[in-house]
Amino acid sequence: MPDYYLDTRNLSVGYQKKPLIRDISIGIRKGDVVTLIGPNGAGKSTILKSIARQLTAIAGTVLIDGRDLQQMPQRELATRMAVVLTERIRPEQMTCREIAETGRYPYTGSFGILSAEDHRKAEEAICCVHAEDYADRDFQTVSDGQRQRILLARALCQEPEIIVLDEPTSFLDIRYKLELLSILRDLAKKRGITVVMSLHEIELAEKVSDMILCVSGDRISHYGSPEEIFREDIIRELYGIRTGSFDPLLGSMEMPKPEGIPKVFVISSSGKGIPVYRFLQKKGIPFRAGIVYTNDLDYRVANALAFSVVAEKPFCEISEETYRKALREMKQCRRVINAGFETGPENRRLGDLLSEAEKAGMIVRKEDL
Amino acid sequence: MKAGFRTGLAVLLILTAVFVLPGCAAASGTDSGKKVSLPGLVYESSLPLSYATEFTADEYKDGYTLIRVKDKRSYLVVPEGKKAPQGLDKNIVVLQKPLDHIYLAASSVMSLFDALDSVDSVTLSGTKADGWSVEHAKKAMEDGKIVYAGKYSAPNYELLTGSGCRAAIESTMILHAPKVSQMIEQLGIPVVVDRSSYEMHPLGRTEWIKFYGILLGKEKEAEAFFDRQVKKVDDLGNFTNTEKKIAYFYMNADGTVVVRRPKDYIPKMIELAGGRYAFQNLAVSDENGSSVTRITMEQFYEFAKDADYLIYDSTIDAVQSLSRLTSMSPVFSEFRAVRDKEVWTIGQSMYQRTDISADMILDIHQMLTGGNESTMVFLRRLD
Amino acid sequence: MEKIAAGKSDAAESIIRRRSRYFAVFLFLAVSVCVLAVLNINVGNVRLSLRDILRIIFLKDSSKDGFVIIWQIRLPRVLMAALLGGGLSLSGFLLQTFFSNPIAGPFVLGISSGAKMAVAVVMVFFLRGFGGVSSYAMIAASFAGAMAVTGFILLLSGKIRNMSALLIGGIMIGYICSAVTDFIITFASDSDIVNLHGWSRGSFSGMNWGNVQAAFAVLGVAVILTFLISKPMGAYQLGEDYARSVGVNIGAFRTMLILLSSILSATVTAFAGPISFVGIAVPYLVKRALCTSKPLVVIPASFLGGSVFCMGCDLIARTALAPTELSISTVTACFGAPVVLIMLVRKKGGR
Repeated sequence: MPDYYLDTRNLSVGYQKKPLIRDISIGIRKGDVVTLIGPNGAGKSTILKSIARQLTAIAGTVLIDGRDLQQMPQRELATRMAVVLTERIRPEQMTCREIAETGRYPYTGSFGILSAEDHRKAEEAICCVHAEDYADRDFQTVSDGQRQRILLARALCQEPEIIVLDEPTSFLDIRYKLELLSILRDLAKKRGITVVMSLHEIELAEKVSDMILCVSGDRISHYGSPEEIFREDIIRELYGIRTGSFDPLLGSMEMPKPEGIPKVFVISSSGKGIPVYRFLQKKGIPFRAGIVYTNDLDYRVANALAFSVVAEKPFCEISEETYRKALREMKQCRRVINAGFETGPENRRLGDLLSEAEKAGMIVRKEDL
Repeated sequence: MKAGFRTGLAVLLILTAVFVLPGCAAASGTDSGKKVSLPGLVYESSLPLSYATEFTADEYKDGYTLIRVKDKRSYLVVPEGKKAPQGLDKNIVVLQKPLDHIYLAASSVMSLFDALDSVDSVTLSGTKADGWSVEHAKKAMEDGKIVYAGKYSAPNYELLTGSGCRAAIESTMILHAPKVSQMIEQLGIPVVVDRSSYEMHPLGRTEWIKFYGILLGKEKEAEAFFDRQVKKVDDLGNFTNTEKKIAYFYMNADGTVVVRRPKDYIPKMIELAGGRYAFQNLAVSDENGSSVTRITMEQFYEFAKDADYLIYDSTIDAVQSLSRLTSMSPVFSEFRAVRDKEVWTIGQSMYQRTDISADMILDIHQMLTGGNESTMVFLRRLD
Repeated sequence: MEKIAAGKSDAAESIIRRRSRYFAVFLFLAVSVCVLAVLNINVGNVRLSLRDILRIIFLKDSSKDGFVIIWQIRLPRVLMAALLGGGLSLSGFLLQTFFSNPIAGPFVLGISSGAKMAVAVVMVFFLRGFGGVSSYAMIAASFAGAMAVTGFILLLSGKIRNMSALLIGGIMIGYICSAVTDFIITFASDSDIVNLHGWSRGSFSGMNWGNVQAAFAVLGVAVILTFLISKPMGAYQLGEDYARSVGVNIGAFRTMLILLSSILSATVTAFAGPISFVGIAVPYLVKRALCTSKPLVVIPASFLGGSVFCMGCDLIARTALAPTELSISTVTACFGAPVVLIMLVRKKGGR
């Protein structure tokens, strides 16, 4: 059994003695990045706050490096664990550097005066999050993305072994989301700091985490690697997706399929069909797609948006059966859109399909629909 | 910190207040015993008092006088050139003669000083020049002989010490501002609290002239003046009461009416002048310290609608005409006295002229017997 | 590389700028304290020459006429104005930290209403029964009343988590005390009412050395304790959760804040009655002048600022309409209210 850095045993969390999530028993290894996902209000924040001892656990134990969280003295906990929270802080007249320096609290003397060592450590933390440029500006004058990095620098000043973050990327633009998450991964891998966080952006969670924790109902529904968790059915059930779909492989989301009998057939390959599929989806026009190889980009999106997909196994010639099926389906639709495709020795027959369509006068442009 | 600790602390703070408050008050009540022994002084006689009940004066050999006031304060008046005896009880206030450069913050006392021709003993006043109805005082302030030194609750301490003040004469209002009297005493100035306004008999108030006579060394003049005042009342002779009802009152901004309590000295004046006080039978709660009580308009109407005379106290809010009175409340037009045009008013001067309260009695008597209105000092008929 | 070097020299520069700012502000405050102290001792109804004053103060020359005036009247008064003004300002700063709200003043929580209620009780009920009340009794009653309200606030803070709600709760307690005071006044004689009103307008008049010693002792202890919690105060400025995460005992800290703030303002109210606006205006001005909210710097600066403010206002109260004295609250409101208004306007317009 691997040594866990953070170990919970039958942990129950909630407010005012009412448990929200029960029986949480998970182990987190040192240096792992663990992300909690789940719908809003599911209890992700509650769990994180309980681990960070901002909230008292209702039942069960949490062990940090083998030591009971409940028993740990405040100062020791402050030097082992640091947090970055969602709430905006409103400090008066403090520079970014000063904010970061507040993280040195557990190490300074009775009056909180920082030593040269403390200043140096704070500078290091600021450099680590690439905030040197604006460190001496007033905190209120910098952007949200810059602020989050400063708060991360603040957490680093505590010299923690584990950092707990509650939706750290919520207010950030995509640039800052990526930056912050990449800094976190570096911290985890290069310094061995365990990162436990919650994220809304599940596509990012998939890409940045070592382990995923799914919070749903009153339990942990899944705990495992992203490969295990990010499957269409699990995500659909976790978030209760009824409209549209989520593709865990690419981490992309699609709007719901158009309803009704399909009247358009789209021929495409190599991703060229995707814009057409989306166009038709927005117009609410149901369509069929084909002949798409299962390893083609079009295949995944067509599955989400098309009424049906005529598919072929990768690297095989289009079989007679497949061709006939496609032809049949195409004839059922009145119109055909040629989204564009490449032809090679294997998918010659795609060209045949197109000729048939041309002969029947079914070709149209998408703009005409 | 556990929640229990915080709650415990909170409860402790609240309970402390509950116990401290009565404790504070209890601790400060002074109580001087019945018999006060003055070391080294030989008692001679007691000052005879006819009407005053709020003070007593005991004369001792060599000119020392001990005055004891009903509020439990005692004053030892020490003659000029002599000293207060050693080992004197700390609670006795020593008044060393000559008492001049007095700070006078009790406006009803000035007239007594005036009657004793001692306005020049006062150099600091708690009332501004235009606030005095005693002519000599007003003039002295205008001439700069008396300086305004701030009212009783906020005196100018520098003026007090700087002018060599020998005594501060305050009204009972000073009891509500203990910090001020404490400060004055710390500056070495003894504080005398005038209680003449607590006398229930009008002549008792005038008899306080003897109190101040002792302080100023003018006992004989005081006695003579007082006897003259008593004579004025006696000269009215034995007459039967006219049984006419007089209502003495004023109206508050909020519509309630303020009247004197039945045992107060003004109803007594009315009695002595030959009238009856309209609110004699008013049931009042037993509350010492207040000479007036507030009643509703309905109660006032019930007691005073048939009164023969209405006397309006214009000290606070001057009512100069009948129409002004009726504008305060339409009910007034229903009053008999209003219909008979027997509505009178009285001003600030009455309270300040403690010396001639006898004249007030004469005024009321004039009013009751339809005498010469132009000779009245205080009363004025409203038209 | 260059950028980092440039950044570092920027940092050094800003440190120097900041330090010189602090120095300038503290110098200004120290000088003002001295100047105002001198003015207050020098100015009064009775003219005294500077030589005489110096002789009286330093040589204790009791032969001079002004000895009593300087030693018994002016010195205790100016010392009390300095001490109590500082205490009030510091009390305001503590409360603003607690509520993370710049308009939280020491009297917003009803502390002065509680003191007034206690004074009313003693004046109206006990004075009559016991014949007289000593000045110490009034002081003790006022203090007790203020601390009782503090007790209620502490109870509330255990139940109410939300700061804005707690602030409202405190204001409500203040209103309740006022209502009770009004009720008590129905039993009061006119003279009680006048005197209570006079007390509630605040005054530095009539201070003696006993007062100075008592105030110095209590305020001294409170100020020292405030310095001891300056470190968690700095952490608390980022919010309760972050403070907790660095190891601040939030429950104990908040209780200490309320307690210290209340002791400071209760002491001031006990000796001088309620004095408005000092607790809100002075910390704001001080923070703006220093361009920082660092507790270790703002605490002493607030105290000195409060001393300067009150000494100045007291001078004006004494001299503007001599020999009548203006109430100190009138003068502090005159200067403090515009500052508070400016503060509110800037805050709204800013962000």
